[in-house]
Parts: sequence; C-alpha cells; structure tokens
Amino acid sequence: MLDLHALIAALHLLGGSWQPWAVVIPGILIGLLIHSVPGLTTSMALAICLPLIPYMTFLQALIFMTAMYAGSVFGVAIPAILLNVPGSAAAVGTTFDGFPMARAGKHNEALGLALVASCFGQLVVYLLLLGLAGPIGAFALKLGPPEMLVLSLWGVTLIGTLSGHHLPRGLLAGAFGLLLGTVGVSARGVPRGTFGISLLLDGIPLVPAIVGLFAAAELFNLVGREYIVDNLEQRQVHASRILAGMREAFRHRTVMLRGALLGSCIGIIPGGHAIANLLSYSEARRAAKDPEKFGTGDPRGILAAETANASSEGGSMATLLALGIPTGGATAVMLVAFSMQNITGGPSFMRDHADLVYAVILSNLAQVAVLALVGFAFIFVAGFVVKVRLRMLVPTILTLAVIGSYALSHDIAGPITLAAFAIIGWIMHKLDYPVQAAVVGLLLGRGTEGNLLRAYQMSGGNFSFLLTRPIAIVMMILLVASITFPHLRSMRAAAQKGKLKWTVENS
Amino acid sequence: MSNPPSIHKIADRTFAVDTPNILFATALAGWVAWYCWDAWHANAAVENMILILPVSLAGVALYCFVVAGCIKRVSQAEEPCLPSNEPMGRGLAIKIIGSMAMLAALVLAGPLIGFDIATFAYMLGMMIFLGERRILVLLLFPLVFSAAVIYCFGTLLATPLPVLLFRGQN
Amino acid sequence: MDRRKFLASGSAAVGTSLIGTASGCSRFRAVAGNGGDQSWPRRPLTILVPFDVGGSADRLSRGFAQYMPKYLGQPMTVVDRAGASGMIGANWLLQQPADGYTVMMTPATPYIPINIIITNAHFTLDDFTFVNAQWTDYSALIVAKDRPWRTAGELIDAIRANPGKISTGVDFGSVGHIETLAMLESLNLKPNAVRFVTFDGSGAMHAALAGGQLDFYIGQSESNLVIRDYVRTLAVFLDHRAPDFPDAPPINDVLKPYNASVPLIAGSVRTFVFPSAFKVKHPVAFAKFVSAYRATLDAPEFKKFLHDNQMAGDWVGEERTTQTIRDQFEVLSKYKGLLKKS
Repeated sequence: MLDLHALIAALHLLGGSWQPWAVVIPGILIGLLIHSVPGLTTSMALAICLPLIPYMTFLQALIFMTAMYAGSVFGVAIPAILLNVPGSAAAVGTTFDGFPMARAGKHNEALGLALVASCFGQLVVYLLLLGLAGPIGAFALKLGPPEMLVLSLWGVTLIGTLSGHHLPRGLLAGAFGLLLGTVGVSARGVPRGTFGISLLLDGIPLVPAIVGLFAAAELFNLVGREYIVDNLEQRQVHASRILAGMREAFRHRTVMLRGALLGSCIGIIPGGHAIANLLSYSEARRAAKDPEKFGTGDPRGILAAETANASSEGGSMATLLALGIPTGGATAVMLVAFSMQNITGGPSFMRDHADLVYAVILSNLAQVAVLALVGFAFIFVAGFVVKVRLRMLVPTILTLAVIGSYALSHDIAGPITLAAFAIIGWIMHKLDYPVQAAVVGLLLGRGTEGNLLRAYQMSGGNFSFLLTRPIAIVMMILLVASITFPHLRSMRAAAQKGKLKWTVENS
Repeated sequence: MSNPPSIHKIADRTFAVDTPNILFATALAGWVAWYCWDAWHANAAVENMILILPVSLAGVALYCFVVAGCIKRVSQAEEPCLPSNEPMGRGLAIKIIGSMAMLAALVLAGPLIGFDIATFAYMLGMMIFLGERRILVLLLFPLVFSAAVIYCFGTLLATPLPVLLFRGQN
Repeated sequence: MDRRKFLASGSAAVGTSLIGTASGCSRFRAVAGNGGDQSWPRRPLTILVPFDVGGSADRLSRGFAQYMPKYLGQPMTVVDRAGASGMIGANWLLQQPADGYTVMMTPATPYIPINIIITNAHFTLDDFTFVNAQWTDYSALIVAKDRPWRTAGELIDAIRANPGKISTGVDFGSVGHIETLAMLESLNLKPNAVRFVTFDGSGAMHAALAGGQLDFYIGQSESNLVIRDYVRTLAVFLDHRAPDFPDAPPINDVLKPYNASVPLIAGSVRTFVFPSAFKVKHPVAFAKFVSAYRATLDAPEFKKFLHDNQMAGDWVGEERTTQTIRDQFEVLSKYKGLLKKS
C-alpha cells in the first residue's frame, strides 16, 4: 500500500529544494482571493494561471494547482458566511448556518470555524490518500451511474429537510429547481425548455442562478439597513474571537470527523465534490439530537458542510493521482498541466511517477498548516467587509456578480440569469418558499437526470440489474437507514416518556 | 407584497385567502406544466422524460397542496394568521423595487451602451438611491471601481465585454 | 423624500448613459481595417476553443499559445467557449469582426457538420475557412479488459446471440455513435440489439469503461489513450492497420465474413478555422498567419511538444482539408436518418 521507496524519494524532492514550496503560498492566496469574491470562479483563476504553468516544473505545477484548490475550499466559505452568497456551488451548505451567525455579529467565530473545518477536512483526506491512494482509485472505477444515482437521490432528500415549516412549498420549490436544472439539450441532443434561444442550449448557467437566488434573499433586503451587522461593537474583526471560533470547532470533533470521512467518500464519486457539503450537512442534522437548531447559526452546520467540502476536493483527486484518469472538472484541468509538461495521464502515471504523486500528497498535508496561517490573516482582510456601508457594498457585490457571470458565460446569458433569479429568489423569500430547496434542486437536476437515464439504459429496463450493483444497494440501505433513524429515535423517546408516565401513574 | 390575506365569504363560510402566495405558486406550477409539455413535444421517449415527467407530476400535485394550505376557513371571531412576514413599509418597498429595477437596467443596458458606462451609471445610481451624499465618494468610487473591474475582466481575463470607451479587447 | 432620491439617482444614471452613448456612438462598432495588412498582427490574437478546458483541442491550442508567438510576432491567448457541441463557439467566432484577431482551433469535422445537420445551426460550411487538417483521429473499437471477447468477431457474435444485453457508451451524435449505428445496420441488427448508454462528455464515460461498467465502445482512438491499460482495441476504422494498434484489424476486414461494411468516417479533424470573410478581405494577413503557422509546425521545440503529447502536426493544406470536410458532411447527412430513429 505505501510504496516506501517512492515515499522516500518524495521526501527528498520536497526536502531538497525550496522550489516546490515557492508556489504554495501564491497558490493558496490566489485560490482564496478569487473564490472569496462572489461571481468569480475557479475557471477564471485557471485562465490567469494556466499560462504560467510552462514556466514551472511538473511538481511545482501540480503543487501550485492543488494549493489553489486548497485555498478555494476556504475562500468560497467567506462570502457564504459574510454575505450569504456562496463563492461557488460547493459553499451552499456553509450559508445555512454561516450567515445567521454573521447576522448575529458572530462572523469572526464563524470564519474561524470554517477555517478549522477546511484544514481538518483536507488533513483527513490526504492522510487517507497517502496510505490508500491505489485502492481508493481502483475502487472509484467500480462506481458507475447507479451509485451516482443513489448519491443524487440522497441529495434530493435534503430538499425535504430544508423545507422547514411549509413542506409542500419546499417540495414544490425543490421540484422547480430540479426541473430548471434539466433545461437545455438532453443527452440525446433534444432541446427542452430553451425557447429556441441558443444560449440556453447548455442549460441555465448554474453559478449566476445560485448567486442570484441567494443574493436576492439578502442583498435586496439589506438595502433597508446601514450595515450587515447593526451593532458597532460587533462589527469589529477580533483575532481573539476568530481564535475562539477555531477552538470551538474542536469541541465538535465527531461532527468534523464524520464530515471529513463522508466528504472523502463522496468526493471519490464523479460529481460528488459539488454536493458533498450538502449531504454532510444533511447527515449532521439527522444525527443531531436537536436538529431544529440547524439553520439558525449552529456551529455544527458550518463544520459539517466545510469539512466535507474540503475533503471531497481531495477525494476527487484520488482517481487522478492514483490512476491518472480525470473524472471531470478540476482534474481535467490538471491534465492540461500534464500535457504542458508533455506527460499523458493514465495508470502508467502512478507507476512511473509515484514519487511525484507522494510529493503532491505530502505537500498537501503541509499545506494544511499554511492554509491555517494564510487563511487566518486573510480573515482579517475579508472581515472588513462587514465594516463597509451597505450602500457601497451592495452595488459593489452585485456589479461583480454581473460582470463575473458575463465572464463565465461569455455572453449576456449569465447576467440575465443572475438578474432574473435575483428577482425570483426575492419573491420566494418574501412568500416563505425555501430558496435553499430550489438551489439544491437546481444543483442536482442535471446529474440526477443523467444518472437516472444511464442507470436505466445500463439495466436495459430490468430491475434485476440492481442485484449486480452491490455498492449501490449498500448505499441505498444506508440512505434509508439515515432517513428513518431520526424518526425511530424520536418515537423511542416518546415511548420512553409514555412508559415513564405510565410507571409514575401506576406506582 | 405582504397584503393581509383577503377575506372572502362564500355561501355563509368565511375564507382567508393568501392571494400573493397562490399567484406565485400558480406561476411556478404553470412553468412546470409548460416545461413538461415542451419536453414531451420535443421527444416523448422514456430517455427524455425519465425525470421530467415524474417530477412535473409531483410538482403539480404539490401545487394543489400549497393552494389548499393558502385557503383557510376562519370563523367570524378568529384572526387570520397566514403570512408570517410583517407588512413592509412603503419606503423599504420602494428601495427594494428600485434596486431590482436598476439591476435589470444594468443587465439590459450593458450590451447596448457598453458595460463600462453601464456599471458606472449603476453604481452611481445605486449609491445615491441608497442614501450616499458625499460628492467626492459618489464621483470617485464608481469611477475607480468600474474602471478596475472592466480592466481586470476585459484585459486580464480576456472577457469579451462590450465596452464603449475602454481600449481593451476588440 | 424617497421620490426625490429616486429621481436624483435616476437622472444621474440616465444622464451619464446618454453622454456616454453620444460620445461613443461613432466608435462603438469596430471598424474593419482595410489598410494596414502589412503590419498585421498589431495586437494579441485569441485562439477560441469551442470545447472545455483540458480537452484535446484546448491542449493543442495552449501548445500553440506557447510556441507560435515567436513566429507570429504577437502573443496568443486561449479562450474556451464550450457549448452545444461546438456550436456556441462557432457562432461566437462568426460574430467577431473578421480581422484575423480571433481564430478557432477545433475538430472541424465532425462537429461543424453535426452542428449544421443535427443542431440546425445558422451557418454553413462556406462561412468558414479551414486552414489545415493538422491532427486527424480515427475511430477504434475497444472493449473493457475483463470482458471475454478477444476479437471483434467474437463481440459481434455475442451481440447477435444476446440481443439487448451488451452495453456500449455513446456521446450522442458523435462519429463513434454514427459508426456504431452504421455497423449494426449493416449487420442487419436493430439499434436496440445493443444497450446504448448516453453520456455527455467523455470524462465520465472513459472512467466507466475503465471500470468495466460498459462492454464496448467505438470512439476516437486518442481519447482512449488515457485508459489504454484497462481496455483492448479490437478493430480500427481505417483501411489499413494502425501502427499504434498492430493487433487490431481494419473494421471492414472484420465485417467481410458477415457481408457487411461501414463507411470510414474520419474522426476529429483538428484545424485552425477562420471566418471566410477574413481571407477574402485581408488576404495578406491571412497569408502571414499561415506562414507563421507552418513555421511553428516545423519548429523542433513544437515538434517535441506534439510528439510527447501524442498529437500530430501534419500539413495537408487548405484545399484538401476543405474537401475532406465536405466529403464527411455528405456521409454524415446520409446517416442523419439513422440518428433520428435511434
């Protein structure tokens, strides 16, 4: 499992020169910076950085890119907490409890919690990869559309949890989101719901839609106020309060560990990284004895979402590092770095460059410490956002979001989506429709349909096909268990209370 | 947006009806139904409808539940207790609607007059609208910020933004 | 009070816009330069890739961005503009001024013909100039390594013996998809003799193939390189054996005993593409681009880049390239019906 020879070679590579380390801080900073501005995305960061790759050695390029992803994991949490606008789809779960904490003046603590969670998640997943990269990679290949479908269904159940008091409204919002996510050309080339507009052929641009939905709920409402946090005292950025938040994180070790492990597993599944934070949040809420606290500013919500976000990012690297096979998104871009260094991917990559792979994993472990320091300093800078008057902040954020969404879609589809969803989102918020349910639906729409379709096609229409997919069956059992367990527990508690009452009455 | 629910009397019974909610839910369900029809019309095969059809049907069913929940029978003496939001003040309502209108204007005007002009105008407009009065800030901040944003996106990231005065891409 | 504020801000906004519009009107539309071809290019070029970052066209373009500026005299930036199988990018190219500062690098066929034939694009082949078919791929038939079939014939027999049981992955409308349908048709098999599993984007599909989730796949041989350790190549869609896969016979040799044959549709034909108006209006600038391009192809460091990345740098010229694309267009038109039925 651990290739000692390659491990030692990796230590030599890292210990022998400053070169691989030179790119760590710039990488983390760029990741933090770009992702803490809502509307800016990883693809923009890469667009700036890719031309620099030829000037680096291959190891530097790999470390630089993983450092950037490490920074991005925490970076997206910052606007999620301060502004209720997730820096990317992966930070949606962080907004659920992060923004309520910020509103209550606890933004320092919230950011501290998120920082520790990001570091911890990263630590756990790269430790796993260090020992188990090969087996994890091989296992990942066994996961196909049926397993991904169960994952999507799991996400869909979160819609029910997020629906709050008005279950029908929440489910309707979720259904709406799911269908919106499927708009565009189907896998068979048939356009649906596009009005003949070619810009919609690839579907509704997700990031502008999500930013619009979230931004609306808060930014438009915030126009009535002076500052995000009304109390002057609480508007300060206090190192001690950030540290307090960081310490608080360690009081919830179980939540963090569960989130990190869950995120690692989900990240391995293609498409899992984007929704890991949601699933982890959902599970933490189900496992808690007081789930109604979630969504009001409970630290456990932030911890669950962020640890999973961080660890799933590492999980998605597993197949690339172990087998040289990209599963999409960030890993596909890393293949560009390979190609610029004239290296092709494939399993021979792990064989021929095992020392490089270990070097990358080890440097990521070291990056955890760097992230903690750089992230802490960055919180100071970012925290000043709450000091800015809203009448300057709101137009600034919205402008960035508009221009950013134009950059994302390279045409006016992005900004129009943003504005349209901002208005829809505000109406939903006003009428008590859970915007979050719609967002989760939107995020899951395409993936759920695609995996459902492929699972159906693979089965040829027979249900017996399921019997050949033990992993999917196990996942379904876990899912059903996790949904029913909280109900069983409350039923048991009620029964115990009833028994006690009976005993008292009859004694 | 948050009018108190309207009270209707139908045949001796009093109902409190949350009209805005019903309207919005109808809009949602209407889109859902249209989308389902559009997809079916494009290709009525299993591969196309495998998710859309069940979810659309569920959506329409949920719509019925939502509407049912918006119509509550109340006795004469009871207070209607529907929307949980307090009614908004007129000032706030104008601010919000104005902000939305300006955002829409930015998005629509951008391609026409160039995003550099549009973002400058938008920031200026929003700041005045939200109460900024310091002349220096009003002139400098939008100028500097929109210039910076257009530069970063247009030149650094090579975004094909339609711009008027900026010597950038294209 | 509120009304005054609204009026104030509104007029400020409108006023600025009017001033801006008035002063900028004359300069808004980029004027197509007619003189100054001798000094072309005067500013950086944009290489447009109508597919996602990380794909083969994207990586090739980044190679050009690295090595070609030396011969062109200006830097080049790669912009990815994916969507609708390349149609979004192609539309975008045609919307830019035809001054040579935007060039597209794309697998012109099959994607541009597919855009026209299947996605009802608004452009035609004549709207484009195809510079040179630099890197042409061919389709190959691969099976997952753990499957029992050692020859293509065994696979075909297995399909006939177990209709509807064997699965294949397809990217709908791709060359591989059409070849699969053509092969089944020529063998007198119904399309549903095989379970088609449609993927959008090849990343997930290759992972599925490598993991043995699918039985076989007909598709671009290069994109199969990444998973080469997990699959066996059983046939190539060429009229000769491919040096990379000496054990894989040409497909029509395999099909001969079944009295079947398929047309050999070229796989991705990657070429630089300009809007045709550029060559017409600025012939001198166009010629300058071509000569810088050829110089890059001959440069040793670029040749090494191509070689190490297993990309090709052939020179066939504009005429042959255009002819190839037109021929492919004809073949794909014939199979449009087959796709619609499936």
